[in-house]
Amino acid sequence: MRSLFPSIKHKPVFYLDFSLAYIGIIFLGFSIAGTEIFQLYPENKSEVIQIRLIHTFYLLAIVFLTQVGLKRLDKNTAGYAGLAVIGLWLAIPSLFVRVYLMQAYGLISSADVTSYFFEQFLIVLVQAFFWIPVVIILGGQRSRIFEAFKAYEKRLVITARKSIRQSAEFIQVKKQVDKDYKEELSMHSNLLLNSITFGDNAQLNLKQRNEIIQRYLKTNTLRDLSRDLNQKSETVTSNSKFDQDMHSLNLISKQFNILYNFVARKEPLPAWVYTLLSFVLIFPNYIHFFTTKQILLSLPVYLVIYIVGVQINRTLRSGGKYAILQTNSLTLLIGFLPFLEMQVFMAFIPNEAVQFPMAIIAFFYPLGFFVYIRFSQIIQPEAIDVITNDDIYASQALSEAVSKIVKDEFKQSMSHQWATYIHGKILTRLAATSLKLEQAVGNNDLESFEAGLKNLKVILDDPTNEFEQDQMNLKDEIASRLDPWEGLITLKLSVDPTLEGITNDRVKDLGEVIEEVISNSVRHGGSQNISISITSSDHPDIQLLIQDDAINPLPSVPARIGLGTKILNLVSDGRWSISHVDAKTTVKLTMSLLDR
Amino acid sequence: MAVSKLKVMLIEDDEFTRATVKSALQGQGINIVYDSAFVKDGIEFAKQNRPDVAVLDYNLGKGPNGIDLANQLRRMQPEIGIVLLTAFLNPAELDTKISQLPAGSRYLVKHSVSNIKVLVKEITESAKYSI
Repeated sequence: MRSLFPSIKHKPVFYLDFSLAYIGIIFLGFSIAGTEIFQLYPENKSEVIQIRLIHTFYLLAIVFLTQVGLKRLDKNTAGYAGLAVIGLWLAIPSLFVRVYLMQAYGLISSADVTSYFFEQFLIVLVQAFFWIPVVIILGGQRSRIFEAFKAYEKRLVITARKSIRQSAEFIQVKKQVDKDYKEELSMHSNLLLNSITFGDNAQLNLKQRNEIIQRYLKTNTLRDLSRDLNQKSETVTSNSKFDQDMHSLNLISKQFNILYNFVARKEPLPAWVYTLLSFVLIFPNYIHFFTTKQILLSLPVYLVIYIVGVQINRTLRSGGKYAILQTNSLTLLIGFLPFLEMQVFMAFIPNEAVQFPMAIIAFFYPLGFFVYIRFSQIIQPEAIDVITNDDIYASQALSEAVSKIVKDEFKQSMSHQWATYIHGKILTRLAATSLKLEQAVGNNDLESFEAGLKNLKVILDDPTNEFEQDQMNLKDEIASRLDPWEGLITLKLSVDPTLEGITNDRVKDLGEVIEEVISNSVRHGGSQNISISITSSDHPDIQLLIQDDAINPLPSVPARIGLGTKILNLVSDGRWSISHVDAKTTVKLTMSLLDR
Repeated sequence: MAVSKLKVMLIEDDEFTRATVKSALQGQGINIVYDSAFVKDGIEFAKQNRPDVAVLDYNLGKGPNGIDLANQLRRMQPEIGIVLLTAFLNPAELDTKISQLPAGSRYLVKHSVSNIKVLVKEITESAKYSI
């Protein structure tokens, strides 16, 4: 079993990822500033703040330069010893800078420099051998978990698409979207129809009637509707790494408890992790505030922490119903132990009690400890395994988020179809009718004007009647998509004869995919020859293979994910791929031909 | 070249619209030498007859759009004038596609077509590309 906390004999290799180091440095800056301002140098707040700012910027810069240097050396991984060397490389010079600044700002005298240096040196060693390696390891794990989670999310979306598409709820959503768009189109059409009736007045002359009608035709809201639907359909998803990470982080947060429960039960943290973490968190206070005797008196608490840690480990492994609840309580108890110890000391040996502000020791420390432990638990390699192996089930929140993604994709696809319909059928005919009316007025032809007006009323009275299209069988559907390209490009088609007669909604989806791929290939790739093959795969799946002779290479990483990607995702449930040899492109797609 | 001497082809998939635009242009003395709903027929005609100007609907239904056809016509006949009709009000909505239009092409929002003189002017302007 892999673990971030393996036995001594193991020599694991870690990814050098400094992404959390920057956050750690800023957190460290706040933490040290807090101790110095409120406890060590309350009279020198301004100096402390200036020193902290300079020192924090120095640390951020040196970490950045180190990161760049290691990248140039092509050094991407290191064992724990290597991480400790990096820790020393960062921490020791930082100590010299800090000592210099403390002296320059008059917080320590020349006589105190040596003792201050050695006092801080112990803290620096903890930073070098513990904190810096830990943030690098956790950063690497975080990145790998993100990657695993993105792949998991993709698989989840594929599964969700299949089940959602056939669900009663989705069919209801589809009907509702369809109904909404029809109603919206009818409303805008009726509005225009009512307006142009002002021009249907026999008492006015042709020119006056035409002026009224043309005014409404030019200012109608159908164009806005078509544009709005088109914009909705082209709403794109950012593909930047940061945005993807934020998206995944959002989904991980919805899945956090389930992931934590799985990982904690399968690979609970060993007891020494609780003990060591407690020690290193308290260690700087030993240096600053404790005498040797006080340190020795406080040590038994670590035995208690170890024992509680063992109990947590056992409880999680036992897999009891309330294991997570019990161990959460025990983890919080460990966080409260320094506070309890302080209370015991104050009650029985007040002379040896070191007092800390109540807010810190009774609130921030236990809470911080709890969060550290949860984070350390979930970021274990085991988390990657359970995600990769689909061992976890999707939480309600995650299922809802994925369901929303699929529904949004569907709505965008519907918006596109309606925008195209309004643009191609309604607006075009309105424009033509407008022209016909103008002509009739120019020729003073009342009969022709009335015919144009009648035609206008027919269009607006039932604007959706041509939207529903008859289903075609697969052979005819493909022919209807390919025939219009004749003369522009050369197409080679091969279809499994057993598929040609299939007739259902999915056949239309297949047609849309073919049209999308061909139009992209011609418009962006400059293809002149395209071959299409449709073969039976595992029933009811079919495989579509489209190869072109594109001359313009597509960008390797598209900046944005557009409607085309969404159509392919929606139709294939994510089972498609695209590959390039030079600019030539091959698209492979698998989809079910079962009716939805 | 006088507008009446221009040979103009019209490709529009909607029959009613095509008939109306054709009739209006003919009323302005423009010589519509060919009209069709189909891209492949338009290409075939252009190959044989080399019209001066092609008036193309942007949205031609399934398959290629007016810009695809415009590009193909230009490849076959580099001097041909192109007028693209679109129902979109704001050309910016076609922004990315407009950039793929052949040089010298004109586009016209369809509701402007009601003023037939505007369309005639665009046809005349587009024909200058071939001069």
